[in-house]
Amino acid sequence: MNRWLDNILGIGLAAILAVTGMVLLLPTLMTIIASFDARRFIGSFPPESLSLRWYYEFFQSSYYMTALYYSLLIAVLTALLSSTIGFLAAVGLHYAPRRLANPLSAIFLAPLIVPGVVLGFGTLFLFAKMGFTWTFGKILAAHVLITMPYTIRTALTGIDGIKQSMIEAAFSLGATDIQVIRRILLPIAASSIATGFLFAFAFSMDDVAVTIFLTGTDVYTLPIAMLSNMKSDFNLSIAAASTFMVLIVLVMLFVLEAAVGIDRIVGRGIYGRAGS
Amino acid sequence: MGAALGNGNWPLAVGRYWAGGCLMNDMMFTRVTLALLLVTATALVLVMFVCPLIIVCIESLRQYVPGSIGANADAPFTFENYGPLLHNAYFRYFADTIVISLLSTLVTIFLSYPTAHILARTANRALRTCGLSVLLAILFTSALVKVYSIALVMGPVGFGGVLSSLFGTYPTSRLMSEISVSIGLISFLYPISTLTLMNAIQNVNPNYVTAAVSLGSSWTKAYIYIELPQCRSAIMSTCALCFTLGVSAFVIPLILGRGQVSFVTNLIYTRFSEIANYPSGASLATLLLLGVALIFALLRLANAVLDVGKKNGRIVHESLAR
Repeated sequence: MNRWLDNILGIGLAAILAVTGMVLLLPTLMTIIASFDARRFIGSFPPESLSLRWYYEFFQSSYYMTALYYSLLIAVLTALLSSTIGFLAAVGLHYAPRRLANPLSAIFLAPLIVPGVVLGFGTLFLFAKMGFTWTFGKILAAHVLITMPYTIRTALTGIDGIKQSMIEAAFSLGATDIQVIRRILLPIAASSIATGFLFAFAFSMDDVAVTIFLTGTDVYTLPIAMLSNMKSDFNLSIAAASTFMVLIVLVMLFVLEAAVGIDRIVGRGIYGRAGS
Repeated sequence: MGAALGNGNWPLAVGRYWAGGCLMNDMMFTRVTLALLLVTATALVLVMFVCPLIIVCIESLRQYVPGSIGANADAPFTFENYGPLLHNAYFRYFADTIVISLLSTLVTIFLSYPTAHILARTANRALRTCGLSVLLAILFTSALVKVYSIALVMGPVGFGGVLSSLFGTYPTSRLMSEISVSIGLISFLYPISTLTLMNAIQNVNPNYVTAAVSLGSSWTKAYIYIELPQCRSAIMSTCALCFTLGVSAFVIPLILGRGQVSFVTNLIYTRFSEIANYPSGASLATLLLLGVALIFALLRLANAVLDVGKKNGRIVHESLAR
């Protein structure tokens, strides 16, 4: 009876995993293959002959290239600002008294659960009231805000692992606050900060819900450009753009594995066997 | 003397002792440093997060003046922006948002729990790294890429025809749009849900399950009766998180809904982009915000109730042990 039940469970699990994998990965794989289609139109799958025409179109289009330029620039600046501010805030939260740190961390993490559209709509009002019209700055400020919860959380996990005795030793030897942060906290938390950096980069590259309220005619990001093309002309240049974005993700994962180790980002929990 | 103190910084250490105000603060950052560390993030959150939300709530109560972003400072307060939202025409948007997000959340949890379990418990390092890489790849892949891919697959050149005949409809039917949006939401929520659940399962002692099996239980029963209940609160908060993210989704219903399925988020955007009725958009945004707040309030309540139950259980357990 027991073995029978376990076999059913095993088969069920295998089926669930197979279905999940198919639903999650198949569409993207199909897009990558379709992006090499030589035909001028979206024809039946799989493509009969391959070419790079859609990539040519993607890289030739000044609309896409402007978008890509701003997307990369904004994502890098966002990641830099967000991981810096996030690290400093995480140090503050970790060492501040609980009665201050608890409400502050709640409000720092709150942007995670507020719908992006509500935030974008509100930010639009805010900038209109302030008379702030610098589109690039608007998008950057909004992206730093929405990525900060991730950078704070990852930096906090890095700082959590630092022994209090190390800090005390440094202080008792006469280190200043800045020295403790630069020489002890920063190097030990470096890999967590790097993780936060990549998360911020990825989510800045991806955001639409907030950004769509803030873009102008001259400054816009790649997802916005793809979205507007999807609505106007559903062709395969978007597949080429998608493949390019998947490539960026793969490069990021490679960096993440090389710099931090993917296993370490997630952590093994209290019963994890680190050696196995 | 100088060597004993390590370096020339000892006057600072003495200064810290006095600045700290008491002995306990000696080995800590000064209050000034802590304040400086926190001030940038606090300022950013206040200006870019708290202010916009307050403005949205206030704007939703202002009278509609066509053609301006934001009402005049002296515009009268009114509830009339909320009135039309009670109309039947809006019911469908709210219903679509809630029903599709809820179903997608449940399916996501159901699909991601086994993966989370395997990744949490496997001793095979290569399998774990490989699985986590795929999860992170899905997490980092832009929603735009997912949406385009799903639109392609569900379209005329993909499997749209086959799938729709499987469900007994035609490819452009509303049902197919609903299914597309659900698939989009699931592929968006799946990595988040799996990573959250994995963290929870990792912190459940695996020895309880092993003990149950060695005492004659089947693995199936051991998982269902021992591991699952210990993850109950994590599963509930993952549900709340996924549902919130689902309700907040914007691009997924916008493209995959094909105009047949729209979420409240899409409605808010239309208020901005097409009909420029900002107060009406603001009142929808306020409702969405209240809805999200309600979900997390309910989660807190449920967790509190469960915690009380646990404590009672523990008391009963301890009294029996005595």
